[in-house]
Amino acid sequence: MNPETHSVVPARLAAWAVAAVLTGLSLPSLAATRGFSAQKPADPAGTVEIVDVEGSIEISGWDQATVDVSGTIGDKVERVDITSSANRTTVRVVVPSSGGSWSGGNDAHLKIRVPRTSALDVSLVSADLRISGISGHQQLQTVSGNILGDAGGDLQVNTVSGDVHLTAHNAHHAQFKTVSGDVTVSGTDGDFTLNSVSGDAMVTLGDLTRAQLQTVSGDVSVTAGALAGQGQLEAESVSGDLQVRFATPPDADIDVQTFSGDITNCFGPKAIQQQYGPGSRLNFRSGKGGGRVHIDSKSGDVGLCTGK
Amino acid sequence: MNPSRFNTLDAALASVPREVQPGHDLWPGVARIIGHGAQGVPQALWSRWPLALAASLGVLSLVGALCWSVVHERVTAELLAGRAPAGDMHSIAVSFQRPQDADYVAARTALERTFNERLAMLAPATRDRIRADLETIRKANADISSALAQDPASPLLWQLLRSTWQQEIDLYTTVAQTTRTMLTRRT
Repeated sequence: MNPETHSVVPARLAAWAVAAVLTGLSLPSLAATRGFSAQKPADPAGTVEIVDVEGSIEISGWDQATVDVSGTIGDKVERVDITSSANRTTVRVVVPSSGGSWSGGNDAHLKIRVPRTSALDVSLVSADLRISGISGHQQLQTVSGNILGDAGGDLQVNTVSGDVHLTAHNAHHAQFKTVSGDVTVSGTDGDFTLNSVSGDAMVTLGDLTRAQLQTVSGDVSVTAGALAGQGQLEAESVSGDLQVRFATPPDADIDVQTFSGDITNCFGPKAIQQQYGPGSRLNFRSGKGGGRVHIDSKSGDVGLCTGK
Repeated sequence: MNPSRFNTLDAALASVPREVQPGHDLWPGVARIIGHGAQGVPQALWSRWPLALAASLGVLSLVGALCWSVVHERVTAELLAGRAPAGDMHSIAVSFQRPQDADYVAARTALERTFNERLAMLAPATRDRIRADLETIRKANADISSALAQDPASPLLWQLLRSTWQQEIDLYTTVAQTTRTMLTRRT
């Protein structure tokens, strides 16, 4: 017998065995999902509400006055309700109670098309969310699911540990709250609020009228266009680092202080050590003043800079 | 403060005359007003008495408010620094802990119960992540409380401490709200 054949045969047998085992394992899971498809007329200027526990939800805007839902649902999912009242359409993945304990098979993987100008109100637990092509106000909430995509209208985003990666196109009011999820957002302007416990944030903003940033231990980096005449930027941190960069030096009264962190400033004067006690402070008027930049940190470092 | 600056200030003060004579004799004017009594007071002054009374009341209120805030701030600072007045040990715990009024505690307990019930319905991996998040919030709260013990007058730390209480409540609410659908029973 050829020694080469000798070694190939057991290898092939092993491969077939592995394939058989994998197929056997995957068959029940394939059998445990089923397809779903439904449509419902919807007000193009209305709100679409989506509620789901597990899986993934992909929402996109289209030019029809219809909500279209398709995808697969787990065997424990009782049904997907699509209901309408007034100008609100609700898509709800209904999972029956299993005596207060988790039993699996609750996931739904759905693609949902909604009228492009709809507002969105999405509540998910551990389902990931992807959105695109919608210009209405968006209120997005997940527990551990990630939120990705591009958003057209004003934004209100709340996650516990889900990460957020969003590109905004016309958001003049944006509010982000997270516990440990990381936030990467770009394109919003006007009024911006960020509240994080330990999640890091990287934010690229347009021209600002008001920004409020608050973090406990997450690092926050903000790049902004101009600060409006009476605009305000306030940033607060316990141990997270705060980096703020304006495209051009703002016309603002700038007040930066930190208890034990470092302050770096690439325009205007340097920070000075407090004469009595620890900490350093940077206080000066940039340009004509009128706006206000206030940054306060306990032990996090603060950086203030201009330029793209 | 530099001691030489004090010396300079003392020297400048010493050179200022102790008495300054008025440019003319003021007594005839004073005597005229005393002699005429209240009628000697110009009418314009009488017409301003309600304004003066209001101003006095305003000043009194302001002083009262300031006294209260100073006393309150000192007590708060003492409580936070662990130097509470004797017999007020309960207040120490309260000042470091989340709000303790009955309505808040009842609402919070109910919310926490719902949260724990709903948590049990979630996938183990999700459950673990949420528990880790709760731990993150509580650790942040503990860190801020420690920092407050060192710097009890910091408004930033107070604001962030309140923020972590709120974030804990938000976590309970988020989980409770997003899992409402899981309570639906098969009919």
